[in-house]
Amino acid sequence: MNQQDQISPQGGQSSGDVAIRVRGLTTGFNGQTVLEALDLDVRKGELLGVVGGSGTGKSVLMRTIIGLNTLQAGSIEVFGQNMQGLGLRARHEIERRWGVLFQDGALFTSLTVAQNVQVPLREQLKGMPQQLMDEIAAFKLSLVGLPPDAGAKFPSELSGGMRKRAGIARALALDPEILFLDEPTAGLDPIGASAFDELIGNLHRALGLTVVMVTHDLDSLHAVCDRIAVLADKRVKLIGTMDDMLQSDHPWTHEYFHGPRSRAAGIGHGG
Amino acid sequence: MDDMSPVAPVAWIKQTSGADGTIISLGGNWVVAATAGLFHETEAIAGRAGESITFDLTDVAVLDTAGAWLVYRTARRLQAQGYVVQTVGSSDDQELMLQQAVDHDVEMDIEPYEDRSFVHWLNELGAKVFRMFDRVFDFLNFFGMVLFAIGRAIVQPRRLRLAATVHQIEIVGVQALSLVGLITFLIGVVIAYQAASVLSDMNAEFMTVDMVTFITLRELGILLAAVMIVGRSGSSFTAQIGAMVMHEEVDAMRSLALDPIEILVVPRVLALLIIMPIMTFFADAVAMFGAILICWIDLGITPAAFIERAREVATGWDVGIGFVKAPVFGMIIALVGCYEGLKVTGSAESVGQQTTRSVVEAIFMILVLDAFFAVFFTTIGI
Ligand SMILES: Nc1ncnc2c1ncn2[C@@H]1O[C@H](COP(=O)(O)OP(=O)(O)OP(=O)(O)O)[C@@H](O)[C@H]1O
Ligand SMILES: [Mg+2]
Repeated sequence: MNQQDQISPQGGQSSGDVAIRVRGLTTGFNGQTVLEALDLDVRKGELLGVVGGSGTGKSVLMRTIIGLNTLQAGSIEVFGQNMQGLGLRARHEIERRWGVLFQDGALFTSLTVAQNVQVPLREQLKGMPQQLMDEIAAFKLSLVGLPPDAGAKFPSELSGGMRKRAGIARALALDPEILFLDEPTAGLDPIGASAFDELIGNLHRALGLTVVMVTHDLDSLHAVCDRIAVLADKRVKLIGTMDDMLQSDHPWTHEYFHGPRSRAAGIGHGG
Repeated sequence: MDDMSPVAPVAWIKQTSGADGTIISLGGNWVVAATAGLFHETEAIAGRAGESITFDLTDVAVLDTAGAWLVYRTARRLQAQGYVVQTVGSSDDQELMLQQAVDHDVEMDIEPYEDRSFVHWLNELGAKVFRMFDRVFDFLNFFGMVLFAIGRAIVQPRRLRLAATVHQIEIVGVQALSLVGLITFLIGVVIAYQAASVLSDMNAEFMTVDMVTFITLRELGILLAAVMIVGRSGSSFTAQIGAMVMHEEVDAMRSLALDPIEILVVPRVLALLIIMPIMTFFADAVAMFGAILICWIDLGITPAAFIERAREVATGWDVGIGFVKAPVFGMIIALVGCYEGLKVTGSAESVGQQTTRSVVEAIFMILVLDAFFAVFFTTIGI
């Protein structure tokens, strides 16, 4: 199963159940191509895990989809709209419908954690009463498992894991339809990480949230992901369910899902 | 989730009286974009004494966390007022959302606590004074460490980062020549022009040469060069080192048993020690050149006559004073720039604050020292 049998590049299925459709994406830096002719469909309401070796371009793929890297070739459609063809205003409308967690949190260092969560509320939804913003910020921060005294702290006063949680709280501030997470559980303790998986799973279910999650955490992949995409050789080498992964004979994928860590996570035992 | 756009969400609240109390029917999209409008409506919801209140969520199409929070906080308020509150007609998903709101009802601080009392203000004032002394001692301590590191580099030359020093010399010196040249040339022109216009009224045009020569050699060249180097290099030292502190690069150096003073500070201090006298000489020369041009064009004093007159009035010390001050000022610029950079804390804002501080402090110290030098040199008679 080395082909991406789940995807028909001609677009056989209607675009109604696809949240993000990527076709022929090519991008890179100063002559070095990182991703080449990459195709990917993210279905509405699914939780897609993206795995791949370090440096295979997972972060670059995420950044390209959300428009932070320029495309050299190909097209990206979000909610059925081609992102390249859109004017600035229409782009902003779409950007408002997704939330992003960057690999290192990317909080605004001059604002407190709670104020960070309020930034999207304040900037995107004019006229929300301060009291409600305060309450929603507290709600979101508690939702991601931060203690009450964290709200008034500055990002530099938090641990790495706490910063990450705060970053997700900010990504969730506008209750987005799509959530991009770059290694959300890296840097969290195992108990925190599984609570986190549970949280993402809950949000995903309750809100019909579409989640694209770059992760190295096999527990997360096992526990919450509907499908998994493997990035290798500059493209999506394989996409499918955990069972598909276990049956794959692609060397890296086999090694990854059958290695000792996957057995520890209780994944490999059937395959 | 269907294809509804969150841009213009429609949500509504209807209050009716049923047989067993007040029924509050909610409908539409209870999403975050709608909450600003709904907030005051929910605040206005009130029950009638003795009756129970039922929230009917049957018509709610979408309920997100913010919408759920709004429903929950209203129910909480009514409950606190003594009503019996219940919720009906919610789907399993919506139930889950409401449960999240219940589970995460916490008090949280948004901003750091700020005491605004008079006693606190006095306290802060005292602390500020002490901090100022602390900073002076801390800076002297830093000065000592840098001197020690330079001394060590002299004794053990392999500790000297020659490549880094040369690199810094290029950045702070060679690349600054055009800027310093342009500005000092213009100032030379301006000074000569102003002096000429005043002095020619008194028929003392030739005094222009004396005045320009003294001012430029003793004060203007060195001060202009120093102030420009502060703005150009002192500030960038602070910003560079500050960004490194922010990204824990300096901590990483320490953890690798590398001395940040030796690696970051000493090359910059040495670079400015070497560059400032050269820069002063250059600034003097270019300013004089500007003055010569003006005297020639405006007053008809030929360059040869100008130079001859200048050599008559200026002693070796007039030139020498600039070169006594130059290394001292260079040292101050580098020390203050690096010191303030190392004092950066986690936030990007603090990089900006420290950079401002470094520029202000360096210029202040240079001007104060310059005054001291002026008094000192006058006292000993040169
Ligand atoms: N801004 C950039 N400039 C130049 N090259 C870059 C840049 N960002 C990423 N790259 C290159 O793109 C490649 C993919 O990087 P990317 O950060 O996407 O890896 P990744 O799959 O996210 O790895 P990891 O799991 O370690 O986060 C790397 O070879 C990297 O060197
Ligand atoms: Mg990455």
